[in-house]
Amino acid sequence: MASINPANTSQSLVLRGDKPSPAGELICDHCGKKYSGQINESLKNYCCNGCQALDQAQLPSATTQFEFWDERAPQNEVAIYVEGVHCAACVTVLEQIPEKLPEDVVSSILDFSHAILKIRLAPNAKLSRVAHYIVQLGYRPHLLSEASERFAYRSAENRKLLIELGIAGALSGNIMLMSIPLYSGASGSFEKMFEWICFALATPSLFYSGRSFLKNTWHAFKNKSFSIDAPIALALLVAYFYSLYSLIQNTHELYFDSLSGLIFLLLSSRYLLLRIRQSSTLNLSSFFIDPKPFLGRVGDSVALQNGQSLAFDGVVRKGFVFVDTSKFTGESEPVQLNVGDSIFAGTEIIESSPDHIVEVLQVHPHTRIMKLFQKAEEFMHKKSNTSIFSDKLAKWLLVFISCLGFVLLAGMYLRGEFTEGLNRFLALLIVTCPCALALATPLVFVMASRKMLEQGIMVKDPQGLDAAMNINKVCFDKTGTLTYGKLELTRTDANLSENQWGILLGLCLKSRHPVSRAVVRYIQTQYPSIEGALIQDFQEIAGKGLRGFHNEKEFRFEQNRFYYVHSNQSEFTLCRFEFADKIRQGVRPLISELQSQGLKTFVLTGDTLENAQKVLAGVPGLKILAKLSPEEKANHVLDALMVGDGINDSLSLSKAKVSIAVQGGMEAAVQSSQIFLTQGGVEKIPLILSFAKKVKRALTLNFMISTAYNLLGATLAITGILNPLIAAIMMPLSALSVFSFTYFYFNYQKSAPALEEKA
Amino acid sequence: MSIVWLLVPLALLLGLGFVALFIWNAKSGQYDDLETPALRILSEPETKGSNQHE
Repeated sequence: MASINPANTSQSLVLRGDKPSPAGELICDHCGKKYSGQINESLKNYCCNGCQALDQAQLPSATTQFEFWDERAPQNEVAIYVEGVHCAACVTVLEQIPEKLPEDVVSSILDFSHAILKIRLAPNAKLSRVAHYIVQLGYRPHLLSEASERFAYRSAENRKLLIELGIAGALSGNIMLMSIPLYSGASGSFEKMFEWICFALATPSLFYSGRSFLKNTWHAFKNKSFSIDAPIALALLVAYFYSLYSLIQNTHELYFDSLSGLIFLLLSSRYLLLRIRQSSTLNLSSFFIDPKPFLGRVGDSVALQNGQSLAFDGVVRKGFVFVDTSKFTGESEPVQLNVGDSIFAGTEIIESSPDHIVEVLQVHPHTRIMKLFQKAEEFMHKKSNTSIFSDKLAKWLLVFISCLGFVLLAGMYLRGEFTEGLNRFLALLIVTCPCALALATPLVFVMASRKMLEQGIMVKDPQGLDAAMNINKVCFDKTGTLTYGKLELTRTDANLSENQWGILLGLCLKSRHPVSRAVVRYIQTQYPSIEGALIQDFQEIAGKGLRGFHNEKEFRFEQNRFYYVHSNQSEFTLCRFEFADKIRQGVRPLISELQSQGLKTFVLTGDTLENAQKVLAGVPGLKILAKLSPEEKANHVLDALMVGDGINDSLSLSKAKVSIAVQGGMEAAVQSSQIFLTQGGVEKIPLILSFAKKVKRALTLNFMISTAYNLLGATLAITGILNPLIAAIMMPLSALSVFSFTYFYFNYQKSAPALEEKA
Repeated sequence: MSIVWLLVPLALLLGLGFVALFIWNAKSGQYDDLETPALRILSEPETKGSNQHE
């Protein structure tokens, strides 16, 4: 990025010279799109905030990262989740990929609301080239495996529901039309014809469009449980067969119109809810991100390349290996592994002794990392199965109402008023349909998710919010969560000339060690004009440091010390550095905020106590639990809110009562957490808690509304004031009242303004 | 009034035609993504042929 920026700046300066008017046509420095607007006072111009954010964000280094994308089984269509899609210009640049890479891509189509790019590949295409290009555009691509199939499945499901809904609507409209002559007094053969037409139209309405109600009820019944659709299904069936019976008996008691109208209204509310849900939450867990394939077999002895990300579990048999386990353990310091030490998939090789040999013990999918994934998945599954209180309540209410209905029907039958009894029975079943109650809970979560998404909080599993209402313990991961997760140069006594900086940069640019990368970052931000000097005979000595010659002089960077060596072997120190992971901004106020709410705060880390204390010095009240394995971490968080990132956290995130992943973490953390912060940092956590309280209040109020509604409806139905048709109109009205209440509650109430300002 | 015997089936047939049209629309995926096409039209195509649907 650093090398691209100056060019962009000069471009916009030229533009400013061309067009002196304050408002004119500008070129966005990020996406290259022309737009009109005010010239920015700063040097760069962007067409929208999204482009600005993306341009200024740090992008992943795109050197070797995507090569494994090419190792996939050949496919002609792939789906890529493109992180950072935000405006119309994104659609343009991403869909222009086929023109820019004609050898690789035949067509690319973006699904904007899900940020998923579907790419059709040319034969012999290189997917890594496509990935690089997407990175250059300023997005982060994530390859979705099997995604095309899953995606197709999802849209097929949407289409099916839409078709059912459309047909139900058409049928119900036509039945209403055909019922008009019946209500207005058609007689004789006309009456018979219209009645039979109504029957003919109502049949597909019930058995095609409404079959999901019947199916759900039947499946639940077979499993000896009670579906929320049961009274609906019961009412529909009773109404249908009673109408058919009276059609044959010529008693003109037809309910075909209310039956089909009910189906249409129910399906529309269901479809709407599905659409809202799909558009406001991105369900990453429905996709699985590809593991890197490994072609070796168990028992093979292999040599590793520097920079390689390991794809198998193994053990070091000879020599030693330096690895970066940050993806696995979340800790940033490189670790030296000697003969007999285990090495796990997911670690990155930094350096290794030339004679090293590693034996393969486990390959995908039996690696430790995949086991962590699987465990996380299992717990996710368990969690989503726990039904919430309102669901249970709705079920009991259903059983009660159905019993009441039958008692009513029997009583009326004994009194000889069967028709009136049936009317009241149907009205009761329809009006007390707990769909308002059943709708309320998901609706509140959907609205809350939407509001939170605007704040950069993505709620993947709403039950996390539910559980966040009653916790008293908050656990944090250290690296990457409370800290930035990478080594930073913290102190230096450097007083170097430009030439010497250049030599140091030249040395460090050749190495992938985290310390070298930290030095490179430091020099590039502090002295952007300096370029790496030419280094000859470069050596990277594992466990020691870097050596190289510049103008016949030997320079070394070892043990955080930069020095050169005279011909008589005496050393001359140029400068020293200190490195540390830096604590994130906002951690201190966050911890005191949480403690003022009466929450206990813990830090869980795999690092040593000493290191953790050094980094977290000055944060009072934070209890540090050090040297924990992922499994031990998981045991600490069973009753807590866990904030973490990194694969080592995925197990504890999935086991925690509430789990929040901060950005920068691996996809695994995203998959196992319930709540995900799209902007790095932990400042938003009090906001999440205040949202949880708000959700709780909304749930209670909604519950009260729908209960009152049902009680009133039931009374009216039993006393016979309500007939089934009016009940069918009242029923969706209750859902509507819950809907509008929830909408206004989340949109027009000032919520905890103090918290929002802090966040 | 006997014209009703012709008109009612005709009306139903017409309705059926629109339902069939709707099913075809839905099956060919025209309702899948209601957001992106609205944005797609905002950008001027630099060359043609890139933005065609599958």
